[in-house]
Amino acid sequence: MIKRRGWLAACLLLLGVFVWIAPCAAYASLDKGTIQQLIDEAKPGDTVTIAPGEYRGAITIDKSVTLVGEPGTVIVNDAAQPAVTITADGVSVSGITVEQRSMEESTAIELVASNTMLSNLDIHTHAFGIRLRKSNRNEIADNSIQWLGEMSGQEVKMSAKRNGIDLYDSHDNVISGNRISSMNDGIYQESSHRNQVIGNRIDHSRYGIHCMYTEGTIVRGNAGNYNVTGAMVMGVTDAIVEDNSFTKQSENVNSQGLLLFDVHTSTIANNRVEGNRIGFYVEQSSKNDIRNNSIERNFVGIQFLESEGNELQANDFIANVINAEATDSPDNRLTANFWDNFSGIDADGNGRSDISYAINPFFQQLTHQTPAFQLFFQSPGMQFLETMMQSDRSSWTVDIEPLMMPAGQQAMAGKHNSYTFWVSLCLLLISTIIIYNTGVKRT
Amino acid sequence: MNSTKLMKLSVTACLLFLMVMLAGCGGKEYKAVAINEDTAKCAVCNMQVKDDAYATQLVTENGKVYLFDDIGCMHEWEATNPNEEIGASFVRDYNDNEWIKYEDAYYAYDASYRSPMAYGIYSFKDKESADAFVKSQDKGVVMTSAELASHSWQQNTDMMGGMDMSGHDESAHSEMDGDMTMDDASSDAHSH
Repeated sequence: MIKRRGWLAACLLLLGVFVWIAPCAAYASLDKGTIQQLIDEAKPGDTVTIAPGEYRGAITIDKSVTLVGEPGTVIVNDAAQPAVTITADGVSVSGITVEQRSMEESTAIELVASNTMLSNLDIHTHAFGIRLRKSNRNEIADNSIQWLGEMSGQEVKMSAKRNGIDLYDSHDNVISGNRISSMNDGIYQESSHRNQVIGNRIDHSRYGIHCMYTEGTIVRGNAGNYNVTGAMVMGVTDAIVEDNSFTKQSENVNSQGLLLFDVHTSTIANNRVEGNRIGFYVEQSSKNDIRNNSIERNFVGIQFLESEGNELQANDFIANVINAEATDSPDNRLTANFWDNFSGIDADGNGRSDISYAINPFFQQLTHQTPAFQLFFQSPGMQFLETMMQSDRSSWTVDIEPLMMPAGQQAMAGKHNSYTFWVSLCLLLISTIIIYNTGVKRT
Repeated sequence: MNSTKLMKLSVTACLLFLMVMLAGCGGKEYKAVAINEDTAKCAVCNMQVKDDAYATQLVTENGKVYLFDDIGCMHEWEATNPNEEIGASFVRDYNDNEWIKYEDAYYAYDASYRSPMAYGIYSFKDKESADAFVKSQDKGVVMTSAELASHSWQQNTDMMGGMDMSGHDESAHSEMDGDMTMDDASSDAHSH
């Protein structure tokens, strides 16, 4: 009897365990069904709202529906394929957290569609974040993309990581207000034209914004911190890079704020590069308009290599260890930039120096051949040698009329002056009245 | 009897020694260096050189090593530095990343293959694996290093390939033209 009762108890217990486990398993597999089912059942143009909860990937959106996740909606994907694949035009997805766990070469969200909208997604990934292939005129706004974290606590090589937002053969997209952290390249564009990258923040990644062979790209108002390089712009024509701030790119030996390689007829304006190893690195680039940038506290402010016909105007070079270096770069037009290590003479009072500022290429030539000579950076002997090397001075890059005061300060100074004038006049008036009145009454 | 034998022996020993010495003098042994991703930078395009199958390197006779992120950059470097004496150059097997001599490798090329600088050339340690790869991709050609010498080295920058850069200076900015060129571009892309 006791034995039998024991059996029964064991059976009941087992059953209990089964009943308890079964819904969990069913829940997961059923959930996989739910989002996909909801999409399958929806008609084009419908809005599908997903209740909070954890769902399993992968799902495919193949008709133009609007997918809205309520707060707490999570799609987890362990498979090698993308967690969410969008193949239909006009889809909108928002408010979902996506976890792409597989390290396989895949992506959290795959876009093979146009005119879609991806917004307010929170993506944690071991693969790509959002990948666009032959996808045009999409809007990718206000998403957060970050590395999912190390597997079993071991450090992953940076090269094992993939890009946050990756465009290939995709044009006229707008990528704005995204926050990308700890990825390979934050926003990577290859053979993709007229895309607008606006107001994104990228940190702790390899290259913040990486353009390869693009035309008419707009990079505006982005911020990059602690990346290997803020923006790598390569093989590009007619780009506009403005109002960005690239700061503190200095941890890697090859760090730069902004690198231009093989870039032509582009505008680089109003950017702030601060605290990087090299502020602007310009190689094999021509006919670019580089103006009104503030280049501060970098080891090297701007470095020109084999670049010609660029226009540099009204840039402020302040507190860089070396303000500028230039080799094999004839015919660049430098006018009215501010160089803080240069003492100019302004006899005619037009705010511009009457003597020019020439960039000595000696140190750069030396270290280009033997990088180890960088050890002599700013050493007294090197500076002495530099002053000795005055041959071939006519080929040096020269600012013909450097500013006497930073361009940024000048703009402010104008406003400042009239303001202080009126304020002081008012104060003078008031104090005269007070002194006059009270003074007279007392005596 | 014994002394002649000893003579012969010593003479052969001497000869052998000489041969080894001479061989040592003539064929300087070059080795590929390992890639440290934290510091490795392409000598041409400045991009990080990843420790992957696209990485290449060359050693000059002075022992200076140059790393490249794409075999196309190495080709570019050789073209712009014709006076440098190159001791050896190395590429990697696409499948297992083993360093192989540039001359011994087989190369698969197609404009649609993606590589860091879009030269679209992958290297393999033997002809079989190169053939197998091309077959698996259903496109591409296999080349020896000799055949690679006469390769066009065209970068697949997709839309830009056929365009004359000076031809569209003014029009590129307006929205209308932008749309038009996009259509051109996509049709161009399909023809690739």
